[in-house]
Amino acid sequence: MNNAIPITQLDYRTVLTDAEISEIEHECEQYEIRPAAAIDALQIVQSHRGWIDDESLNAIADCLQMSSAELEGVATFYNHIYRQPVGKHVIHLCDSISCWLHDFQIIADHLSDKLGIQFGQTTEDGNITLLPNVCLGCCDKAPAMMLDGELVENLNIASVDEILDKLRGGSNG
Amino acid sequence: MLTIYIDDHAYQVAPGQNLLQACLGLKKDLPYFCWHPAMGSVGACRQCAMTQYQDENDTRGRMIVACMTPVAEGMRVSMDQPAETEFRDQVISALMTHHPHDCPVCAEGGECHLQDMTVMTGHHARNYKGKKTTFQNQHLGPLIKHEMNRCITCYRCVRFYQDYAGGSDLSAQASKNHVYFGRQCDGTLESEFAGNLVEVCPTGVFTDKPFGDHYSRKWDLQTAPSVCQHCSVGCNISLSERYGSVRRVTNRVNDHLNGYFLCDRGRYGFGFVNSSMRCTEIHKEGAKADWLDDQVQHTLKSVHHWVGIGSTQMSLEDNFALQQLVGAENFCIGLDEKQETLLRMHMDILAQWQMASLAEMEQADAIVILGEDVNNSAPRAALAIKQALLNNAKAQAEKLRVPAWQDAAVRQIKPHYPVPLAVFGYGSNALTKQASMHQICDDKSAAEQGFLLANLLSSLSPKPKVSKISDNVQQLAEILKSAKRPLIVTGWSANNPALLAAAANIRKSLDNSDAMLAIFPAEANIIGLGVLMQRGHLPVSELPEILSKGKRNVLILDHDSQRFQQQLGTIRGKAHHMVRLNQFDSVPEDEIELPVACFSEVSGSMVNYQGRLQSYYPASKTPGQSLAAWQWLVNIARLRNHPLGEVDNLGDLRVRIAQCIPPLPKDWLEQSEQGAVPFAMQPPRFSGRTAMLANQTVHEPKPFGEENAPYKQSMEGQLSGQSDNQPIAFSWSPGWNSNQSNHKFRDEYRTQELSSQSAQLLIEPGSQKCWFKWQPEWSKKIDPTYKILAMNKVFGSDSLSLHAIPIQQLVAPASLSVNAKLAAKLGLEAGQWVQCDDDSIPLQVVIENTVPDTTMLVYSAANQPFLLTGCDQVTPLADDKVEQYLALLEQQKAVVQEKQDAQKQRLLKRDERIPIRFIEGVS
Amino acid sequence: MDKPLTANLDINNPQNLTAYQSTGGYKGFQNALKISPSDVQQQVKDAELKGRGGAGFNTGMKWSFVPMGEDAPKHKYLICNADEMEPGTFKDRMLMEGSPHLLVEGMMIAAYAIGADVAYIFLRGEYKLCAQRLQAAIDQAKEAGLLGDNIQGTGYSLKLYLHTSAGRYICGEETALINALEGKRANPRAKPPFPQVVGLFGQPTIVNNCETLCNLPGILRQGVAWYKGLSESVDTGSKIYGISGRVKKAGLWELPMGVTARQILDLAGGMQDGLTLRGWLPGGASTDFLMPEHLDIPMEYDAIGKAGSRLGTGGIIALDDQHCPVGMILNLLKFFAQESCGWCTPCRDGLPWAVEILTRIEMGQGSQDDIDTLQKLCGFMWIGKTFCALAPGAVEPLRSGMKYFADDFQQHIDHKGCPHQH
Ligand SMILES: Cc1cc2nc3c(=O)[nH]c(=O)nc-3n(C[C@H](O)[C@H](O)[C@H](O)COP(=O)(O)O)c2cc1C
Ligand code: SF4
Ligand code: FES
Repeated sequence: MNNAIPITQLDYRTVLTDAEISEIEHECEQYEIRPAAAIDALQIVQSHRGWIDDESLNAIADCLQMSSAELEGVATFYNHIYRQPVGKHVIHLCDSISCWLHDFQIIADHLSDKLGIQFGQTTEDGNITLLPNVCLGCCDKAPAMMLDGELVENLNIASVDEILDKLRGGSNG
Repeated sequence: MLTIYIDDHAYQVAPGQNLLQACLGLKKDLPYFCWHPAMGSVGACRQCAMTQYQDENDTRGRMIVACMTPVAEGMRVSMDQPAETEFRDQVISALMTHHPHDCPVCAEGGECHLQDMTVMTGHHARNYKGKKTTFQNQHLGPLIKHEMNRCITCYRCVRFYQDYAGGSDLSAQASKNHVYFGRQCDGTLESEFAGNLVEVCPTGVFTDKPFGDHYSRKWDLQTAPSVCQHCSVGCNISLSERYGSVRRVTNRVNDHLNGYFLCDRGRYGFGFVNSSMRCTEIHKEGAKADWLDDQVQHTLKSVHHWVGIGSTQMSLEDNFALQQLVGAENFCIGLDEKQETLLRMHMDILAQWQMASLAEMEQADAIVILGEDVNNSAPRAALAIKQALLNNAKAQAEKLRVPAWQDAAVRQIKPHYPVPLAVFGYGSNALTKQASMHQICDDKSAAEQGFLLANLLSSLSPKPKVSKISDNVQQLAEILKSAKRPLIVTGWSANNPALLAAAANIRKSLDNSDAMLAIFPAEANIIGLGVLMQRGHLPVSELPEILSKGKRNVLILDHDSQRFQQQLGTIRGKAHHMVRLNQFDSVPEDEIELPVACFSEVSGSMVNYQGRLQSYYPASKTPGQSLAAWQWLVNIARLRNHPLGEVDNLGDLRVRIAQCIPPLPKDWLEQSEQGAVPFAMQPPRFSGRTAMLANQTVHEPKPFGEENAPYKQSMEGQLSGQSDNQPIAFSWSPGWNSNQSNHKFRDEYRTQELSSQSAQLLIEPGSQKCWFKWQPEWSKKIDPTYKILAMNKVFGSDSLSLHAIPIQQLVAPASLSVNAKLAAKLGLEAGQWVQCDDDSIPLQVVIENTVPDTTMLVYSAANQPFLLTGCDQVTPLADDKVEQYLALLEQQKAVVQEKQDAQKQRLLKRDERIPIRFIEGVS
Repeated sequence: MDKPLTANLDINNPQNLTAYQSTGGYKGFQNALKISPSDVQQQVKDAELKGRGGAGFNTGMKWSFVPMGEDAPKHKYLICNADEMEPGTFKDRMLMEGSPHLLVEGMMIAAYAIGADVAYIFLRGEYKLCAQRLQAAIDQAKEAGLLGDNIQGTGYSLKLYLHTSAGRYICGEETALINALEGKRANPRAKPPFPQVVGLFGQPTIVNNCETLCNLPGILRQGVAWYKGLSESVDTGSKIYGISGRVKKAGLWELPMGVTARQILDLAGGMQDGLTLRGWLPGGASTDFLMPEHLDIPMEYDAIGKAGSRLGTGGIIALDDQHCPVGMILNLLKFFAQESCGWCTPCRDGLPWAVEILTRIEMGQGSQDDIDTLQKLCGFMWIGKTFCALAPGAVEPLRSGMKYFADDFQQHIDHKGCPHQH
């Protein structure tokens, strides 16, 4: 008797904001079918909320008239959809070949040390998440990182320190 | 036929197939994973690699995967050269890098396709030195166990679940070597076909949970060919037994019906045979009694008039014996009046039109469903209809020179080449969601629309007394006219003969010999009773009068449905003596209760919706004093010196049936004489047979068996299933321990045109076809304000399977569905608990916009009958009553849990000490 | 030489519509509109433009498989492949950032040529600046009536949308890209049916690389003869070549097809001081290593093919003598293993296996039989054995690296450690 009918039906309008919905609807217009906007919709909601929690995932699925299992399959396929909370700032350090040739590992170790976290983790204060990224297309200006969506090129220890100071200052003030 | 060269030998193969299929058909051991005969090819696993050469002079060739390569005249390929054998070995090695190698504790062990393929490729030493990944498993409900670490990422599960069966809550997640197959979160799998994952998965990721709870290796199971008892389709199943209890049901391939898949009611509903409710002893007025007791004998010998009541839950043989014993004029078929009418009409239609098999239904290119929720009343048929929706895409693919078995390609094309599916009816289910035309209406207007449609197609078709033709119907007439293989489907769920008449008229109005008709009765063996009914019967409407004449005895074949309990009430009290032949313990007032064997314990035959006669064989021995119902009836006949008493065995009885009901298929009669070399029901590896009773006796017992039965409860005998018409007991061939061995030895696959099947059908359609007239009584208005329609569910609407614990765990509470409009009018909210009129059971409100206006859809489980057909008001249940009811539901849940534990303990206990009499030859 | 791709390219301040038009922009599209779609196809075929996405297939030929005429499906699609995730490749980014209108015009021409009514730019998500500038260019073109319904009264209509990906190398594979655009998991599709016939949403679809499309305005504006004259080789037109690694000045240059790698290396000022070149990948991470002695081979499809590698994207990656070849290969293979879509066995389970072995070798825990296994894995993931070209591409640097740098591998095993790390 354990499948009593769910009492309340999920309605995405109660979860997603009007802004999110209108952006998603805008994307839907571009495709023959609604589920085609899945990746766009995930990115939209993520841009508002930082990451995709289960509730948002279910709401997006409802909005796009697809099953949440299927949307989960999509969300977990792509590198830049976060299904776990991330910090206020996200650092994506390029770890591909040109950056490797420019010894990105030194930068990586330095970042890890200074933040006290491994790649894939978030600082305890929830400020910074450190992630690796495949080639950022800045091979001529290696090593490079993407900080909150902005490219930062020709990294060295000094410039990394400067960035971290700024991020920390930002979170304090 | 084409000639192809494999390793320089010429072979003849049928065109249109892929190379893998061809090789398996040639009985070659070519390993594979992701291909499946019903699901086509996607080329993901790369296991079926071969080398193709341009001509005789090409010595290098290029590697291909066989499942993605169409056979072509003169093609030259190799399968045994080092290049491909090494590659195939590498594929397995790579697949196994993260496999846990936990075969000893894996429920798939011994029938694992991965084990077979590993051995077949020669991979035996592990080369990978890294760490293994570990996945977290999910709780997928009471039917299926999840163990992701065993996954080899063949994608078959999601391809079956989503693409083939239309489920939406299982998906492929993550990527690279972390691909995960599961739900979004823990929870019971929603698809009523989920159980097939157990057979579709080539390793132990999805395993049968109830079977795993009381487990035996495949090689220690005794397996009998059988037929599912839970709806009128009559899917073919294999029943497996160990230590006297039936352990599981698996699919038994039947190209015409179920193919490779079952529904979960069929797979998990068998548990009633192991239920503690089973009646195993003779009772008199509730107390244990003996056959030789004077009182028992006295009653059974009663010289007064006997009336017999047949049962759809018993075999054709049982019902026939009863009809013989009491005489046709005293044989009531055990249905209510409405159902008798439906049956008469069904038999009428069967005498004119052959019903489409499931395989034929899969070939349809336009489908009309009239007022039947096929998905819930004949689930496997709905799955077949769903496959038909691909046909236009397949045709288009062929035009683009893409073979129809290129599954992914066909599915990409599908949205632009839909197969029209028109549904006239109510409620939503997996099929209605795919409908291109869904007219929401009650059964009566569905029938009217059907009559109108037939009339549009042929002006000779009688018109109903209705005015408006909907646009849908107009449009549909055009679609049906241009379709090559239109299919009309209806059924008994709405209890409305007008639907059957409408469907038959549409069929007749189509001037197309390839048009198809399929009508699904409510229960398994109903057509068997229909056949007997035609030899004469006592209409149920006359039963009260006959009984009131006094001193009438009643003999009742097992009837478990609650619906029948109502009728029983009227019979009881009027009858002089009442004798019941029961599978389950019943109420004590009944005078005499004789314990009857279940379908898993004796041989018998059933007749499916098409009139197809199918036999099942015993997997285990009858418990306690129970006998096959026909045996009791023969015994009673002997007491009374009735000629039926001369019957010695089942073969005898069948000969008598044949004298009354021609034409019966020859092999059905001969089955009992085939005995020369019987078929083994235990596989060659059956272990410890001689030790099974060692704690009780030192004698090596002789296995029990039915006299002259073609199947023997031992491992001596021949292997079945490798000739065309021999039902397989268990699937096995050298090197192939899993059910994938079924896919070898196949000359024709379901996807290809199947040969004619009329030979197996009991009823030959005549050439005379007639129109059905609209009957005035079909137009009668009903009184109450709101019409109540009954709703079926896969789990719950069949009374037999309700005795199976996993099904009990899945049964939903009773509900009342209304559309939003009516809900607003009546002030109903989703989830609220209500009652109809005064005294109905509590119902939970569902807002469902596929319910017609002024109509309510009520679902209640078969053991909780809801008999109102209309109501004037719906009242909310008082808060305290809701609380009470919810507490009751909770309690029931706990009871089921307890029962599950108790049953497991009981059966485990029994395993330790099998009753000695279980084995013949030991006293 | 004319530089049709970069003459008006400004990475800091790209031309807006008016500026672009004043330098001859959208003339090519206007010219195309004056002739029939099949004539446009013919011109591009005659120009022998080869796809710049890596495979080098004749673009006009590819288009010719699209069903045309009355019976053709109602919707047809053009997709610009701007996923550019191949490590060592950054040419498309420069084109889109520096000259967005060039791509928009190229897409209009291609869409017209195949009768597409909807076009998408499939852009990798990390390219935020590209996204801004492309969207601006699209909006300007729309406003100017160059996009939309009944363009300039010709009866031809085209919608152009920008889609940003959520990141996955396999999305660059054209059929996987189509799945991604349909909002699905980006597993590749089986061919046949080819996307030209059954593509996006089951309709005829052409996927062209960004640089390929940027070549079209020039061809349509200045003609086939002019276009062919740009090149110094059998392959026509100009090409954006690039180099990265430890060179003095990594970067991109538009050069005639068929220059040599040495010329490109010279443009980059040679290797950084104190370093010598040990080997190079001619066109991105999924091409075979070539050695210093191959520097004078023309960078064109056949010649590089004969030398045992592929022109790929034309983005050279230079390995210097202070970096460990084994480490480099490990880095490349990690990328591919991470980016495998997980569909077919050799790639999904073979690449991580290779990574596991390479990691051990690099850490000094490798043994002789590991070399054997690696070698076998190269065969295991080779062309014809996998579902798409990702894994065979991944194998290219591995198999050639094992050949050219066999000594380095041996040293790692013999000395139980990496000689480049002390
Ligand atoms: C794994 C893989 C990744 C690819 N990535 C890209 C890419 O990022 N950009 C691209 O233009 N082509 C890429 N391609 C090639 C495309 O599949 C396709 O050939 C190309 O977009 C066709 O365009 P063209 O004919 O203009 O060259 C990739 C191919 C594979 C197998
Ligand atoms: S080679 Fe196979 S697993 Fe790898 S990306 Fe292609 S299809 Fe996916
Ligand atoms: S069975 Fe052929 S590739 Fe999987």
